[in-house]
Formats: sequence, C-alpha cells, structure tokens
Amino acid sequence: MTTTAIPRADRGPLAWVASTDHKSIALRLWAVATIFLVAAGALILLVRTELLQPGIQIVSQDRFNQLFTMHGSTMIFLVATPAALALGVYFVPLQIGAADVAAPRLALFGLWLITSGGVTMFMGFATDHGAGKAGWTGYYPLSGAQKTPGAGQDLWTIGVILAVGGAALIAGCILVTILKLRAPGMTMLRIPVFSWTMLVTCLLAVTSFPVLVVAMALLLIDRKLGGGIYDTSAGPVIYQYLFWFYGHPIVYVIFFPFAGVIAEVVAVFSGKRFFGYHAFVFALLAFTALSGTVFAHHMFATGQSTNQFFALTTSLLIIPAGIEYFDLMGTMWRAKIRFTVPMGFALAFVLQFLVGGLSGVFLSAPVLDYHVHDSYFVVGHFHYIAFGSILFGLFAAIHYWFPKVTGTYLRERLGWIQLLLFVAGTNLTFFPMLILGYRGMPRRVADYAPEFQTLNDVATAGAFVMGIGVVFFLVNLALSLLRPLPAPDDPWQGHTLEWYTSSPPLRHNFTSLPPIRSYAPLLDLRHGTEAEE
Amino acid sequence: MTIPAAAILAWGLLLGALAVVLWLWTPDRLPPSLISGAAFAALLLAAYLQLRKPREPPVRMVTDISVGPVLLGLGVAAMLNGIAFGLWLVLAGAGLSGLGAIVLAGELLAVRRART
Repeated sequence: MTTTAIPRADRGPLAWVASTDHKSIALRLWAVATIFLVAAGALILLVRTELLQPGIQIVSQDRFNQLFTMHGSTMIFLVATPAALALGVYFVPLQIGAADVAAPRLALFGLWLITSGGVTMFMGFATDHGAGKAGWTGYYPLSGAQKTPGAGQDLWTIGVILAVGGAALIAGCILVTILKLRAPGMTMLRIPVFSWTMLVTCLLAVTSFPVLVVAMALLLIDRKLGGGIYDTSAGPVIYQYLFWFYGHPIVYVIFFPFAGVIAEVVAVFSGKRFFGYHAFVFALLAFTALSGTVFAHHMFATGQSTNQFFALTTSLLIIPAGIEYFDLMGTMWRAKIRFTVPMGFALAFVLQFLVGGLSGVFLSAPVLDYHVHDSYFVVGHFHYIAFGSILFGLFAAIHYWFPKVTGTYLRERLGWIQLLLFVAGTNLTFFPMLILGYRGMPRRVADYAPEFQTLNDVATAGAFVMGIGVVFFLVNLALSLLRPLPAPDDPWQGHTLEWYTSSPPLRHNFTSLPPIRSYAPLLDLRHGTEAEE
Repeated sequence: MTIPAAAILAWGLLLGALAVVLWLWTPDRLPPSLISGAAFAALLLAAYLQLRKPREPPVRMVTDISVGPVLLGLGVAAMLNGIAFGLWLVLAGAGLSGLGAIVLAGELLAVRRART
C-alpha cells in the first residue's frame, strides 16, 4: 500500500473555488463549517458572558436575541449539517470503492448555496434591525414582519432556504453514489457501517429538507408580500408542523454520520470486526423511519398535536438506539483496545450521548415534558445530544481520518488535552442546564432570577473551557500542517477501503481494489475472511 | 428483488405503516400527510431502483474544474438576496445565473462531443 505517483487535481485558486473532485468539495465544506463553528462559538461566549449575572450587562435584550438565534442557526444549518455531509462526500466514495461522487457539479452547486446562505444570514448583523432574532426555529408569528420587522430576519429566512436547499442537493448526490456507484463486490450488505449511516442520513435529508425550504419560502412570502399564509388561526401550528418535519430529522442527520464514525473507530481500535453488523443496519433503517415520525413531540405543549402517537414513536426510538449501543459494546467486549485520541473521543461520545438520551426520556413523555418545556432542561438535553454527537463524533473523525486526508498525524498530546477540556467543559456547561431547567429557568432569556446565578456561572465557565479546547485544536491543526508528522497510508490498521489508497488519495481514488467479501475488506485481506460476528 | 430496492422499500413500508397508524389516530391531516409523502417518495425510489434496467455504467466524464455551478450558486443566492435588497440584485443574480447556465451548457456539450 504505497503511494503511486499519479498527478492530483490542479490546486490553484480556481481549483479551490470550482474543483469537482469530491475530496476538494468536502474539504471546502469543512472549511466553511470550521469558519462558522468559530463564529458560532464566539456568539455563544458572548451569550454566556451576559448570563454570568442576573440583569442586563454587556448586550441589550434585542442583541441577546440575535446572538442566540444566530448561534443556534449557525450550528445547525452551517456547521453540523455541512460537516456531516462533508464526511459523506469525502469518505463514502472511498469506502465503497467509487472513483467520485455522483453528480459532482450538483454537489459543487450545493456547496456554494450553503456558503452563500451562511454569508446571507450573517449580513443581517450589518442591517438596521440587526440579524435574525426569532430563534433558530423562527416560530410564526414571532418571525413575521409585524413582530420582527427589518431586513435581518428576511436575510435569515433567505439564508436558511439557501443553506438547507444546498444541503439537500449534496445529500442527494451521496445517496445516488451509494445506490449506483459501488465497486464490484460491494453489495448493500457489505457497505461499511459509516456509509450505511450516510445512506440513511441522506434518505432523511432528501425527504425532510425540501419541506423546510417550502416552509421558509412561505414565510418569506408572508413577510415580503403579506401573503397571509400563516396568518390564520391554524397558521402558527401549521408552521410548527412544517418546521419540525425538518427540525427533528435534522437531529438524526447530524447524529447518524457521527454514530457511523464512532462505530468505525471503535471497531478499528478494538482490533475486531464490527459486532452485529446486520442488526446495526436493520436498526438504522428502523431508527430512520421512526425518526421521521416523531417530529411533533416538540409540540406536546401546544395541545394541537396527537401526543399519544408521537410519545409512542418517540419512546420506540429506544429500541434501535439500544441495539446500536449494544453493537458498540459488543465490539469492545474482550477486545485489546488501543487508547488513541480518536478512540478517546469515541468513548466520550458514547458516555455523553447516554446522558443526552436518558434526559430525552423526560421529554418523550408529555406529562413530564409539560414541566420542563421551553426551559433550560431542553437546552441541556439538546446540547448533550448535539454536542455529544456532533462535536465528539466530529473530532473523533478528524483525528481518525486526518492522516488519510493530509498524509500527516495530528499531535497526540494536544488531542488528549483537547478531549479532556471538552469532556470537562461539556459537563460543566450542560449538566447545570438540566438542573436549571428542572427548577424552572426558561430558555432564551437574557435576565433571570438571582437564585439561578451559581449554576449559570458554572455553565459559563464550562463554555469557556470548551472554547480553550477549540483553541488547542486549532493550534494542533496549525502545528500539524506546518510541521507535519508523516503518516503511512494505513496508520491505524483500518478495515475499510479508504485505507487501501494513498494518503491523501489520488484524484480518482484508486488504482486497484482488493477483493470485497465483507464490510471489512482490509481486515479480510490481513486475516482472511472470517465468519461474521 | 435487488437489495438496494429492498432496503429502501423496507424503509418506505415502515414509514407508510406509521403514517397509516397516524391517519387512524388523528383528525389532523397535515402530520400524516407529511409522513405519507416521505413514504411515497421512498416507495418511488424503491420502484425506480427495482425497475431500472441494469446496464454498464457509462464512462463518466467530468471536468476537473467547473465554473458553471459556482456562478449558478452565487447567482441564485444573489437573486434571493434581492428580495431583501432590491430589484437590482435580483437582476444581477439573474445575469450571473444565466452566465453560469451558459458555461455549464458549454461544458456538457463538450463532454457529449468528446463521447461521440
């Protein structure tokens, strides 16, 4: 597995803008996500600083609304979704032995829609009324022209249309890649676990994202033309239905790919074939179908949704989730685990996500949800899920695949420090939120009762600890790129095809492929095909 | 039945079954319609995967650099931004999109010529 000297795609400035190489598109998506991650982090540090004390100190109420709205919107539309899709655009073709992604021009178009969407949203800060301020959910009538006038909210709506539309196109490209461009021998039940998670992610994306694009287009018509579409007695609830038909699946869109990464990382560093592959795949399909039918559990408190049905489907989610956890545990059972940084992030993911999942049990039951609805409990739960999956999974992926993408390692020691800071920061920030919410502190407020101050201070300290963790990562990234530690093509003894090619991979990925007889073809190559599980 | 079609069909049927339960459970139309729509999309995709004729994939010819999609993306974004900033930006965006479409069409024609 040595690097073959085949010329790579042009790396000039035009290539950076318009290359159709799937790896280049993915790297640009990551660059966009990273820039917006830093921006979203800066916004939330301002929010948390304001919340250090009761009362209004550093930003006005209005500016506070803009800050948390833009933080949430940026993280969902411009960081988590693009980062998850970028993983798919880069690694799905490599894992299934394809030369490229399907319809790369469409993926390129999607990339520029997402980028433009982000810029559009942030331009709101330069307008008279400031940026969007109706929350990342943009509930109507709060997001209507009467309650939130000004170009900033218009730009937020346009930005969401662009970013979500672009993401849907990219998801479509990945889906077609998996369905149509697999290498000979790569049957559906030999697709690596990560690529399976991308498949179900993209199924969810192509069926739910267009609904939000339509919902936002209708909102824009309401705002600019006075269409009156949502301006009826049922309008606000209709908006919520349309929004959450996207808004809940998006949680899975940004969860599944990282769960897939964790599955790959756990199998590789346990030195074992992934346990329960078929059960995992069927659990994923069930998980996906259920996750498309739980969306109105966000609306229990409206009294307008069929609470029993949505509580039932939400509770049923525990079954496929349990199977996936069981498979992860089974893979690690009696394994000689190598404790590397990616494995550290993977283990942290498993633990943090467990807290998120267990706190979600409260929210799946309407009677308990009524108590904590619209409180900091929801914020804490969501961040354990989103931060626990997105960022721990993302950094596991970055540390795991960085040698493949760049041909160099990231610094191990800096990675461990970042991980420790992230674990400490996550729990310091989000656990107090669960308590605050349970005790009645509402979300999205700049001011609060004095008895909540101590826990808010702890949460703020935690946010800064995570900020320091991000700084360590950026330093690690810069050091590793400026003073590279060269890595071989397969530094971790990987199981899947991406480790068969050079690092970084060739323009069209492979000069040859090994026989594909299971979902771990390189493990087969090393040890021979074994009876699965 | 092919496995890709079966996988999508399984997903669509499960989604459809849940939609049927919700249709029976609730007088509301919108939530079950949304789920039914997703199930229908999945079933269409499964039908396409099952019914399409297997054939050798054509040799894929894609230029390494394609400016058309970039111009189109920026053009569409500019047109939409024009809703907030005014007609001038809608027109500028339309021009950019048109240019992008022409560049893309030229690329696709060149690929077709190269094939023949």
